[in-house]
Amino acid sequence: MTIPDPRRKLLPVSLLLLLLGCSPHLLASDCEITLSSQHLDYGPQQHPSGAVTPQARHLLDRREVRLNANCLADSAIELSLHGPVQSNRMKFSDQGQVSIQMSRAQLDGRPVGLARLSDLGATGVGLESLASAPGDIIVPVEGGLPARGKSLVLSLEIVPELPLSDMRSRDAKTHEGQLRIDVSAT
Amino acid sequence: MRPLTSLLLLLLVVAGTAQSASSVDLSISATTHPAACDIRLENGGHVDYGVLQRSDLNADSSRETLLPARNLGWSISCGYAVPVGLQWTDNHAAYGSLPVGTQYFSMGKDGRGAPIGSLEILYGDATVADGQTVSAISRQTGGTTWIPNLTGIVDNRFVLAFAAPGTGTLGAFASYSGQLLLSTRIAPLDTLDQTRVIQLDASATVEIIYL
Repeated sequence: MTIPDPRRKLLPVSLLLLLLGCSPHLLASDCEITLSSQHLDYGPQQHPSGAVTPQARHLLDRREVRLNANCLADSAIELSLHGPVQSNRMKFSDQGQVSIQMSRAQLDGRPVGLARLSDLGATGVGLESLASAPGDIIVPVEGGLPARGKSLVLSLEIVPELPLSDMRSRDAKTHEGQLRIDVSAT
Repeated sequence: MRPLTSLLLLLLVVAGTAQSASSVDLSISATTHPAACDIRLENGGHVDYGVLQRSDLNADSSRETLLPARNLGWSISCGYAVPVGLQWTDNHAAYGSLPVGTQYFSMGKDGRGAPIGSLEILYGDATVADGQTVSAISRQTGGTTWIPNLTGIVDNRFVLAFAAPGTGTLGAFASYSGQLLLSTRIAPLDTLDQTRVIQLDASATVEIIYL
């Protein structure tokens, strides 16, 4: 009869605990995402002059935000957009929307296309400019496949719009929209 | 392979394919403020026909007299473009008018309580909004459909507004100006108390409605 050496079991268990304890921290820092501006304040908006139809909308100025996603290792980078949706676009105020156009994508300095992950098989190639909205998962694409790299940069063209009816309130009103972008790497 | 080692490798494999994530928020904001428009009527909205002599009225005392039309300038100034409607209220509606109708405002009553006549208010052809000539449109109070108001007449069943140039669609403007055409009738003298002075006494209020 042999008595098991307790240290032989402790070592794997220690490794296991180390993995469980450290993995989340390491994974969370694998990629970082930044925007050149996280808040776009359009300030006071005035009702436009001219015809007022029930469908009439007021387009706010086009603004550009640069997105920068950096990962520690070469990865297939995904950008997931989250937030309230109005008529298939990012919601703004009660009835308004925000158009988000992603373009000028570069992965590690080389131009790449963009595609929705769900469209990859259908489109075959990425687009230079891609309309996106909360619910979309966007990937950089080369040769019809998700491209791998460490650093993804692209532009977000932001154009909010308000129905004119939202602009005619009895009280001062703040119109707001929220978007969260997650970056992940596999 | 021992069970514990298998578990460890499985964890390593899972860890190798697990997704890592980082997030950033983007917020967008804008503000709007309620419109505030001022309306002005020429001469404070006061129209004085002076003293009318018997000779100024229709010689046929069984027929009404149409006094010479008067113009009254008006303007509305808003800080920025806003669609507005105009609604008139007859403050002396209880005194009655002659003729009777929703476009006839009271001219007051005589000593015996008979209606003295009527006042019609029309927006002239030269209404200008943000530098462009615009035409009148109307919709029933509480309604939603705008129809052309070719004569620009004020009717207390309707809200009057102005269409975008070249359209029949309600327009939003920062400034409006024009001339009101006032058409005043005096009832046939036979229907009035001629033993006392007859005081023409019309009073109406115009209200801006933010549409």
